[in-house]
Amino acid sequence: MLGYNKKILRVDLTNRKSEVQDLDDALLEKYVGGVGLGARLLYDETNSDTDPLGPENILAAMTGPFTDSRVPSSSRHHVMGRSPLTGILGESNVGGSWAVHFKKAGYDGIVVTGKADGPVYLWIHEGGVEIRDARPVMGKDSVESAEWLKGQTTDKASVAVIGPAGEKLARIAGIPHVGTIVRQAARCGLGAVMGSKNLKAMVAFGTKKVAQADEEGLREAMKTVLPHLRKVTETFGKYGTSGGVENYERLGNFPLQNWRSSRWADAVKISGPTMYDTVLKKRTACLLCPIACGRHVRIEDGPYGPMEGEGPEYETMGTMGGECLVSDLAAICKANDLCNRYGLDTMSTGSVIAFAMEAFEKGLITTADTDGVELRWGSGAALVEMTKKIGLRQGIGELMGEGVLRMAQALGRNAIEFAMHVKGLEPSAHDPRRFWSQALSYGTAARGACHNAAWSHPYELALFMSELGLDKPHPSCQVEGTVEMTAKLQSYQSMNDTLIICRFTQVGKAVTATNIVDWYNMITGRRVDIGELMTIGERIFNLKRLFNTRLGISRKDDFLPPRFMTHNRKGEGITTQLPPMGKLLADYYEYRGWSEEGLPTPEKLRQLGL
Amino acid sequence: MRFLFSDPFSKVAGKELDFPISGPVALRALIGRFPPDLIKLIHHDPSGSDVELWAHVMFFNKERLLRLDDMIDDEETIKVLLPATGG
Repeated sequence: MLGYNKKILRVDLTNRKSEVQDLDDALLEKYVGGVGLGARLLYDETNSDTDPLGPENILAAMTGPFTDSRVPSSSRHHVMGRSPLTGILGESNVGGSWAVHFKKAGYDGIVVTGKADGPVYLWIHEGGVEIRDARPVMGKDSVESAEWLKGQTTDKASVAVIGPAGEKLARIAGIPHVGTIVRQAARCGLGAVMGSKNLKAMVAFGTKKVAQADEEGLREAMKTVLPHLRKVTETFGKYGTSGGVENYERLGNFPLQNWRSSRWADAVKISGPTMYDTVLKKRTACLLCPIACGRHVRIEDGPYGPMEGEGPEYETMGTMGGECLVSDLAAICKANDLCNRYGLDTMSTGSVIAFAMEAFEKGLITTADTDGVELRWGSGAALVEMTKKIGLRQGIGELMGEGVLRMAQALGRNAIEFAMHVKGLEPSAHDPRRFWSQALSYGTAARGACHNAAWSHPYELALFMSELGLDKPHPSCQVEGTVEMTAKLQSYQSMNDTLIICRFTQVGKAVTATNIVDWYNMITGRRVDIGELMTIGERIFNLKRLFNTRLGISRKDDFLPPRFMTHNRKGEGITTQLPPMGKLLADYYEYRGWSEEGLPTPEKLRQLGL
Repeated sequence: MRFLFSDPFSKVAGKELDFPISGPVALRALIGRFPPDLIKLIHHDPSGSDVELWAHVMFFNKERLLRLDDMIDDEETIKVLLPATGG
């Protein structure tokens, strides 16, 4: 099979050894790449005794057959490990350029185990891997560290590097990837897994190109697809992911005041068009992506200037803006930049600050706990100050860096009632009361409250996928059809994360399931149809569930926090119906072939070859 | 009937645009009467599909996302926003 190096790089930091594992076609046919291979390795090489922050945990980063091909928006990889934040499966999909450089160095994936006896970084190139001393950049932020690391290797390299948050084992630490732009593998605290291994960075560069079965066919296919993709994503690229802020607020999808409020006139102050008119200096793109949805922003002066760097995305606007009621765009840009530098997940950071603001309002914490910071709704200054404390693990930031669930447990009293999380992961910026498929996806996604597992909210509004039997956009807030759509999209998006290709190519139906199948066949030389790819996606989704059920996860863990289940919002355009999770979950398990408790049945596992 | 525009469309069309119509008219036809700058900004292609339109702009009648062939009555107010696609 073509399209691969067919090699996994294995690094044992305890013994400072590395080896190369060959990948056979049978494994690649069954799990393809990305999340598929990562989930298989994680299942096989960890168990219920694995400490997420212990040397026995693995950190895996996997590319797919689309990586370093002509397929647009495919410069991505999937990072996995047992999550220190949730204790269950941890995963994060990230763009940038690292995946391409890594694959060009001659590998499809890397698995890191053990713990180095001092701070190290990996220099991965075509000649192999070197374990090098990282002491000079310990304590430095991701951008400073990347600059030094490129100086030690090559300035063409891409660097996956943790900041102080990961070094200090904050459970909401991500892994910034610094090339010409910054992108984070942010979710699930995987930055802390790197930190626990004394692994500061993984630097990659290469020039090798893997053979593809029908490169000419792929080149021809792109002549049609790329102009269409550019055309339908022009507005999305121009205004970025935050272009939808005002619309989502009006629809009741935008999170407000720790998810308890309904409408917010100030949303327009942090929308994509406002960014475009004020702080945006240029658009940024992952390598070889024609969409260019990233933002490079500059704050000239004021309390947060001068500041220049990657700008906030929609999810950051939702969590740091809406959830905290902060409409100060400069403050959000500053907090976002700090997260990139310290290596913090902006979603979890914004969420835990919103939670702390509500705890402050309710008197569960006071200025005595916050070193004098008035943790009031809408305070941009408090947002920035708390982000610093979390990133550097100072004062109450130590506790906040543990995430919403642990902070609520530490505060006690009624804090758990307004702790917004599923399985320990803070939600992304999509309200499950507005899109019921999102409620089901938050409940059943392997990593917790994840919008990307199904990425169904656009399909509950303005997208459809005929090849999957989804012939029109699904009506919102109705039980009928929601289970089928959510499950199908979870399997489909699993495929996208294993091949790997960005969700945003689905905007405007620019890239369809038919395209995906054709390109997979052209690259690998296989001849599969959409049914077979969907079966692979279903297999991967079930394998991830199986990983979690081994850790005790079942139906009891698939419900949403009380506020989503009981708090009815009011306001123009806001739906007043709450997602009927009991009914949705029961129907979902039946559709999936799982037991009433949400466990994959032996029959289902056999059917999927698990 | 009346269109209410949000950013960035309001910069070209103003906050409101009134079209007196005598009976139900398809959204597609009403868009055809937009100023050229606005048509360019929403990337309207007369032969394009609903999904392609929704990648650039969304028209809402109350909470209902409109299709190009949906009919609009004179007393109705249509909100025009950037698409909800991100995240």
